[in-house]
Amino acid sequence: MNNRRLARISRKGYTLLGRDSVSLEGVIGCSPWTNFKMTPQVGCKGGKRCFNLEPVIENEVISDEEVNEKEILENKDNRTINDDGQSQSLSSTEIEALRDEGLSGKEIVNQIIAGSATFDKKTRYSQRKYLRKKESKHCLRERVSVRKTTLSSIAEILCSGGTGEGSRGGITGMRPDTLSQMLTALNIQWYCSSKSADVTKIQESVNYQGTMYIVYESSNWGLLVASLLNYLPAQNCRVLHLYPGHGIPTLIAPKALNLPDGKFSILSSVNIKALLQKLGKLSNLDIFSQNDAGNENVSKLGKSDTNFSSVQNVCDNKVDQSLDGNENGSTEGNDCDISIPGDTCKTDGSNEDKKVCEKSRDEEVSFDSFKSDEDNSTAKSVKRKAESIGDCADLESAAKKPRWEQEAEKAADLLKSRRADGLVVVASKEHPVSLVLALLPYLAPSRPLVVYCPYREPLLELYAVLKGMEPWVGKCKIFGSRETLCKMVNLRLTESWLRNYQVLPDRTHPEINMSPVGGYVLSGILVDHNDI
Amino acid sequence: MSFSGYKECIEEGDTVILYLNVNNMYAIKAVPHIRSRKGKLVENVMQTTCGALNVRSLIGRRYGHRAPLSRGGWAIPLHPTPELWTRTLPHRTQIIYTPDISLIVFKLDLNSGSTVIESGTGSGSLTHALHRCVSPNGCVYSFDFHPLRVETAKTEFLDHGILYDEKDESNGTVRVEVRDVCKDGFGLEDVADAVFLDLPCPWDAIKHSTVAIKSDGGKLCSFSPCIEQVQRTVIAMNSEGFVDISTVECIQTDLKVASRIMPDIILSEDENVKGKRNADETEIQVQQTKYDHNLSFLTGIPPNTQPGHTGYLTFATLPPKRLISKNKKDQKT
Repeated sequence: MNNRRLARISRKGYTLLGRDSVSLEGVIGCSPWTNFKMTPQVGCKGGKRCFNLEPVIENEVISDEEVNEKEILENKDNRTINDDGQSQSLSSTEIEALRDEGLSGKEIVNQIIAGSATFDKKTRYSQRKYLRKKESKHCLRERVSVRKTTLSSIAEILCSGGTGEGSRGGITGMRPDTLSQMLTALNIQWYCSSKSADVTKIQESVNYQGTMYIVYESSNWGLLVASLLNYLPAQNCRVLHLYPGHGIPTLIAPKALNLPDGKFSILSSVNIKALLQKLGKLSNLDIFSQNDAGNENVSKLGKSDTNFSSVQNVCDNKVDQSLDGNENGSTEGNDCDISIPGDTCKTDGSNEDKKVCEKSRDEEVSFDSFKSDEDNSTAKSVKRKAESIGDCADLESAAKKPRWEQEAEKAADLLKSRRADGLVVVASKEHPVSLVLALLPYLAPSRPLVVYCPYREPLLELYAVLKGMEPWVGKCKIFGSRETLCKMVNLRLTESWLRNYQVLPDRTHPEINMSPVGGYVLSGILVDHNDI
Repeated sequence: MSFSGYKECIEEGDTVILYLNVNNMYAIKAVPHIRSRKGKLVENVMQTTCGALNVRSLIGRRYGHRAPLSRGGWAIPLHPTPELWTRTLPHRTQIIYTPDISLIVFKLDLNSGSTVIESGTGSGSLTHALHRCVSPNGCVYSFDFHPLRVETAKTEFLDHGILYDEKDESNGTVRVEVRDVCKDGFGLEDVADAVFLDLPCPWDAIKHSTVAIKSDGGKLCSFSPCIEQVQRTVIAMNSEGFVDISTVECIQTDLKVASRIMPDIILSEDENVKGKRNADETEIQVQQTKYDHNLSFLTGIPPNTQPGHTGYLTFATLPPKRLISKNKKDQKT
């Protein structure tokens, strides 16, 4: 369970397992659960050893579990074992050298056992633990298995894989159990209040009657967006994804779900400032005043543009057309067994403990460009964005309007006609109070608000403001009137605690390591004090 | 009928969550008349701690808009959700609470269109959440060996609009049946994406779960309060070919947000105080503790006691069946 990577499968794709680089080309055309043997490639890339993946015929399922038989109690203990650092005669460099000579993992393990003076004195549990440690340290298992991605596996990998020191990657401290609690509090459900059968018509019209959720997510790898897309069907729903800044944040999680293309039609990503401006809440000048940040983004997105072309190339060679035809959101009747280029699969590597999700970082393709052909260059639209400051009011040049502005207008029209069925704010970078106060007027009564924050204090403050407690209310700028306040019931600030267990005969106990914090969630239900 | 999608206004027959305050919430049915103990049809008046409510007055009112009570208070009719239902439902058994439900639904990899099996039905707390997740196109099979409990659950699910009905193509997805799954299995083959077990002896139902899960594999979860149950279940899962077996325990803590004040006792003398000290020592001290050094702050206070254990959740994955049969043969030889 511990050694998992998220990888986008392509002909030129690589993923990192420890210090080793593994080519993913061999995965293409194989069904999920296939096992692969890592075979060394000729030549090294920057000092890294490179491997190809070769499917293994014997269909044994790779898992980390130990054999579950009850063992005979041994008459061994550690009274004769001294921790003098002398018990293993092979040094780390010698083991590395053996590996470079091309010895297989099994042969090296045998050498390690032979080189250990104390191995035979250890109990069987201790022997197994010793070998597991050595195997993971020197990447000796050389087996990889490929699985299909699911929302929970993506969340687990992204939440545990750190890309920086001290933080849990882009997820900013959100643990999967916290995510699951947010999703229940959000009451994600499908409905259609209009009985008419013509679903497409309803979706296009302004008086759109299906489910609509607003999600503010600026980083987090799009985990909340992915969750909404995962749980909602492809028709009669709308997910309004709001983000700050210029470019749409990289939505790794939604892409990794391998959703049918039809699913993405329910999602629209809108810049929050542009939206509020279109709704008459912000003046023109407030938007895109940070030109410096804009320039930075242009260059960054320009880079991802080149990435896009490589993905595109691969997609052209697609062996299987099933993804294109799959509009209904069900995986049935669709040959999903075959991983095709461009498909995201989960690699279940059995090697190292350092979990760096480098592969995914490399593949940060702008979501926009992945989704569709029209205006797929986000870099271009950002440039246009910068040019068009002040042009916003020019309604007649609709054809020339940049994509972000069209999206903002569409979203504003939608919010003018109806209110949302749920509002979720992931305040992992930005402070939640202003965000929530600005968005709360667009939530319908008796619908949930869910706010995530990796820290407790901002949510305490938000709670105080929503309850109308002085002096916290006085401190914040409130959009319009104070009507939005004192309207929440069932307001709860919660924290989740999760413990994993090792369950083995005679050796059941909580796991040695646990995550002490998984983020904080404030949730409540909006009500209306009009008596009608 | 109000569990299948949001509505704007309360209709007759809807289940409504009446919110008085955090500690007082009631699930009621919006009907103008009820039968009295003597069997007579009388006006449906609900007595609450904050006054009486004529339930008839709720019909036609919008969800989330407050309704007046006889003694001048207010009650807010909320749209029912599986979570509010879990908090207000009539207990017929021990129920599974929202933090566990969240993790179960999440880790079973369900989405709209999935087929899921649960056993036992119990009080139907989890069933509502499963329905929400797999609707509109999915399917929930719910089994319990207690005939009366199944009947009550059926009536309730029908009432909430989540019971599957062949004749009516509405949004119901739940099929309930009396069945001792440990003894007789689920009577289903290769249909389920996921199976959830809340049984006294879950290990007896593992092999039946393998049969019920799709041939492409699927997920299994077992909820047990005791670690001994978990140990036996894990052994059974292992021998049936399940992989990625993991046992977790999840607790959610409610933090009470409050503003608190702590006086700061001055233990070091600063210049100003020193100068004035001789003039009137006592007065200065009183002033300090009363006005100058009261520090106020906002905090989240955990409760004094809270449930520290509900049950262990054991999750497992079944690989495609073609792989398992081979595996098992290998083990035998």
